[in-house]
Amino acid sequence: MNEADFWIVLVGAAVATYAARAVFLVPDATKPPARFEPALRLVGPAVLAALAIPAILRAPGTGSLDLARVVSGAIAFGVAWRTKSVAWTIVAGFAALVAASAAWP
Amino acid sequence: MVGRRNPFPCDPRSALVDRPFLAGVRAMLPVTFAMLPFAILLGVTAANLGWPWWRVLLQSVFIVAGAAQLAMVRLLDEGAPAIVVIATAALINLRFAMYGAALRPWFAGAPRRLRALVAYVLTDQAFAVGTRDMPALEAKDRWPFYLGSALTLPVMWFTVTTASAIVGARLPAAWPLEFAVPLTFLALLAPALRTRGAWIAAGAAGAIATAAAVLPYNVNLLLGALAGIGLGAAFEVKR
Repeated sequence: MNEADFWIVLVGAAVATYAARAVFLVPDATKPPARFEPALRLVGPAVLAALAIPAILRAPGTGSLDLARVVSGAIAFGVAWRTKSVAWTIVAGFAALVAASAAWP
Repeated sequence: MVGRRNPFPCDPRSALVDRPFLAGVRAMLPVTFAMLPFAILLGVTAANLGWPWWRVLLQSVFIVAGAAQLAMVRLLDEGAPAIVVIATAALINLRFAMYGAALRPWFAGAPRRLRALVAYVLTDQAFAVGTRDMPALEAKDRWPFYLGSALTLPVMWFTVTTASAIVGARLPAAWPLEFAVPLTFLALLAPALRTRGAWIAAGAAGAIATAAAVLPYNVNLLLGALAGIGLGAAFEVKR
């Protein structure tokens, strides 16, 4: 990897990330404009889903949908919904993936 | 995020005699343990792709956000243009703006320098634990509690990502660790689904990101998230 690229990307991403964290928190009087508020509230759910769902459903390597992963993802989501706990969600997802991979090798 | 049934129960109020900062640290410990696989995965992945440990440390200190860091490591390895890598990290981390807006009222009376620090350590987990526990606290205990909880995770994150990059190159890339990352996001997603608009945004984002996953440079993430935000916002505005 190119050394210059690393530094450009590091500084660029750091500035963008801190700006997002600080924009409504640090200045003395900023509030999100009212018309952006609905969109702003949906950034969390949309980004988390776009990160989580493809990575759960697609088998590593081939990238095809994998039945064992679909089933364990659904079980993990049910546990996440009930417990709101990261630890239990990971435990349930792994247990389901091990069991489902044994059922459909 | 930890619910009533978390496997390491601790009541933030029980330690709250005169040490709200320590109570915050305690409230964050179970979440910090749950993030260990992610920290190890990031360090090992980066090391296997040829990153020296100091790059991982710098990245952790500058970005303090696992999902964006992992995306950056992978995109740089694919040879994605710098602008694509920065745009992807910026979009993944745009959710912090929403968290900041929601946290603002809690820190209305706090000095600006303190708010600058609060912003630096603002993470999904700090937001979740803070908004869960702060309402039960007295006003004067809230910001020390928040700082205690929010600072705990980065301390682990800096240490474990760097240590994993040092030992990591000698470890095999283990698939089970990989699966823990999306499960962590799934656990953070579930409590965010409070409105029909949020369900539409998440459903559309997930479906489009999955369908577009064959595209290069992780653009499926940008496409899915933007389409989900647009569709969900259109639904909420129309009502």
